[in-house]
Amino acid sequence: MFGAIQFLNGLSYGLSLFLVAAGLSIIFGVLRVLNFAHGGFYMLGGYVAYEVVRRIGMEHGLFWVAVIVAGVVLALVAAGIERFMLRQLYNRDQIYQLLFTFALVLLIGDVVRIFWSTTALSVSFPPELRGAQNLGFTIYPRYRLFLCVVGVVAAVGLWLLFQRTRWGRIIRAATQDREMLSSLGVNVPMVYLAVFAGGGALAGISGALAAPALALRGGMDAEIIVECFIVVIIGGLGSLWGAFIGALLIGQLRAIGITFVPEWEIVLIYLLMIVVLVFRPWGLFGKKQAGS
Amino acid sequence: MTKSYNALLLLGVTLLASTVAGSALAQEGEPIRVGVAFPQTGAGASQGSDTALGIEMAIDEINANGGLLGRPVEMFWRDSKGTPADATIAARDLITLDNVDFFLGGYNSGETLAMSEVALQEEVIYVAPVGKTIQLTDNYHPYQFRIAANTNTEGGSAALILEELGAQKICTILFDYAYGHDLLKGFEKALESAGSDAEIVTQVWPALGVSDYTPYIGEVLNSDCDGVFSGIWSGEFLAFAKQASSFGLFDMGKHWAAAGEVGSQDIMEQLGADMPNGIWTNSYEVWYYPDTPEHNAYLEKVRELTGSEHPNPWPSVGYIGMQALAAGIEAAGSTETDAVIAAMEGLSFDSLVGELTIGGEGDHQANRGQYWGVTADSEHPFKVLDEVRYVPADDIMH
Repeated sequence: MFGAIQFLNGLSYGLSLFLVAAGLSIIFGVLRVLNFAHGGFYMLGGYVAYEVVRRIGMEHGLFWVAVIVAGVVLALVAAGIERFMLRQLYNRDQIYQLLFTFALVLLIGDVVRIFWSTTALSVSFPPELRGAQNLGFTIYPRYRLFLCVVGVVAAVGLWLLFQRTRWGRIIRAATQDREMLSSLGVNVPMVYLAVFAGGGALAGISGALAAPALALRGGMDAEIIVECFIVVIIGGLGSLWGAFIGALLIGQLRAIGITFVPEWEIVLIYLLMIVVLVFRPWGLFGKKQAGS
Repeated sequence: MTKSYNALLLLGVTLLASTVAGSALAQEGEPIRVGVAFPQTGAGASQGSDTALGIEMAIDEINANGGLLGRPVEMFWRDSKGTPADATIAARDLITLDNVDFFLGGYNSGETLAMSEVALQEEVIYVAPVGKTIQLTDNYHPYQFRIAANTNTEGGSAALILEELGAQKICTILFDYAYGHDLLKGFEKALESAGSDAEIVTQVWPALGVSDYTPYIGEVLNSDCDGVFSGIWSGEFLAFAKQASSFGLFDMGKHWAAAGEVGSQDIMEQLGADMPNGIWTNSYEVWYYPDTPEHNAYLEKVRELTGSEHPNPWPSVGYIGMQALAAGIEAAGSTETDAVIAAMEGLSFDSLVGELTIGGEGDHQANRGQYWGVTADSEHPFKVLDEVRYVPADDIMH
C-alpha cells in the first residue's frame, strides 16, 4: 500500500506538471520563444480561480466555472501579449524575446501583489471531489486522481489535435518551416497568436486546477517555471511526448527520492538533467538541431 | 560685517544646540526615539505591518499617559523586507540616520539574527518580539533582549501536550532548516525532562517552500505512530492541511501537536472548513481568550485601529515587545543604554499575557509561554481553538 501511494503521488505530481510544461514546450516548438512568463500565467490562473470562487462560492459545479474563467482570462491575456508586444520582437535577436518574457514575469508578479497582496491564500477542494477514494489496493485522494485523469486526457487530446486534425497539421508545419507555410497561404501570424494564447490558457487552467491542493502565494511562479524548464530539458523542447515522459520521470524520481534518499531527493532530479545534457543535449525526444 | 557676525552667531548657537540635543542628558520633553524594523513589503508584509501597529498602539498609550520618564516616545519604522540583508540595512539606518535610542524588529529568524548583529556592533539595545530561533540566545551579547517564546518553549510545549494525550510513538514533520531542527531539540529535551517513554519512530523533513507534501504524507501514513509533532507554520500549513486531509491523515485518530502558530486567526480564516478538527496548535494570542479587563481593553483598541471584528494576533506581539522595553526604561529611570540593560536583567513586568520576567545576564530571554488549544467548529465561518490554555515556559525554555 505504501508503494502504491508513493507511486500515485509521483504520478499525480508528474501529470499535473505535464499540464503546465506542455504549453511551454509547444510555444517553444512553434514560436521558438522560451516563455519565462509561463509560470506567471500558471500563478495568475490560480489567483483568478480564487477570485471567482470568492465571489460565486463553491457549491456543486461552481468550481469548474472558476477553472473555465481562468482559462479564458489567460487566453485573452496571452493573446493580447502576443499580438501587441511579442510580435514586435520576432524579427529581432532572440535575446530580446527572452528579456521580454522575463520582464513579463516581474510584471505579472507585481500585478498579483497589487490585487491580492502577499498573504498566502487558500481555495478549497470542490465538494464533488473531496476526501479519498477506495481503489481496492489502496485509498487515494479523489482530487489527485482527478488531476491524473485530466493529465492523461490532456495528453491524448493534444496528441489527437496535432496528429489528426487540420489545425494540428498546420501547427506542426509551423514548427518545421514557417516560410513555406506562409507561401502556402496560411496566416502564420494567426497560428502564432493561437498557439501562444492556447499555451497561456493551458497554463492558466493548470494553475486553477492546482489551486485547491496548495496555497496561492508569491514565488509559486518561480517554483513552477524551474520545474517546467527541467521537464523540457529532459524531454526535449518542442516535443509533446517529451514533456509527458519528462514530467512523469520527475514525478517518480521525486517520490522515490523522498522515500529512500530524502536529503538527496532534489539532487536526483538535477542529476538526471545533467546526464541528459551530457549524452543527449536535445532532450530524450527532442530533435537534433543543426545550427542552434 | 554685521551679516557675517550674525551668521557666525547663528552657526555657534546651532552647534551648541545640536551638541546639547545629542548628549545623553536630554532635557525634559526631548522624545525617546524607538526604531521599528519589520517587513513593509515582501512575503511578511501584512504580518510585519500588524506587528508595527501593535508597537504603535503601545506607544500611543504610553504617550497618552504622560510619556516615558515624562518624555514623549517617537516611533521610526523602516522596511526590513523579510531578508537578513535588508534587515541589516533597516536596523543600521534606524540607528545612524534616525538616531534611535532602541529598536525592535525581526519577523523571521534570519532577520532577527542579522539585527542582533547590528545591535552588538552599534551598541544599541535590540528587543526581539517575534524571532524564536534558539541561536539568538546561544549567541548571547548584552544588547539583545528576546521577548518572544523560543523554539525550546515551542517544541517543549508540544512535547508536554503529546505526553498528556498519551502518545507513545511519535512522527515528526518539520522543515529541514534551522527552525525545524531547533524545534526538534526543544521537543526531545522536554520529553526527556518529563521522563517520558514516548519515542520518535518516524521523522520526515520537507524542504522549506515545497508546495507538494504528498510523499511526506505518504511516509507518515506508512508509519505506526500514534502521535504527530508538526512544525509546518502559518502560510505553509494551508497547503499541507488540505493535502493531508485529502488522505484522511487527520481522521486516523493520531494525537496531533502542530507548532508554528496555525491557530492564528488569519490562518483559521483562510482555511475555513479545511482546517482539521481535533489538532492541538498554538497562537501568539486569540481574541476569544482570556476574558480579562486588560485583554478586552487591548481588543477594543485593536478592533478600532484595524477595523476587524476578529483581529489576528500580530499586533499583540509588537505590543508586548514595546511593553517590555517601556518597563525597562521606566525601571532604569534613564535612556542610557547600560542603565537600561542593567534594569532589564531580571525585570518582572506586567504584559498582555500576564507577568513576564526577563532573564538575567547571559540570557535576556523573557519567560514567555504560548497559548495552545484544540481546533474545533464554531458558529463563525472559521474554526476556533477550544480548551485554550497558557503553557508556561519556565521549565522548558532553557
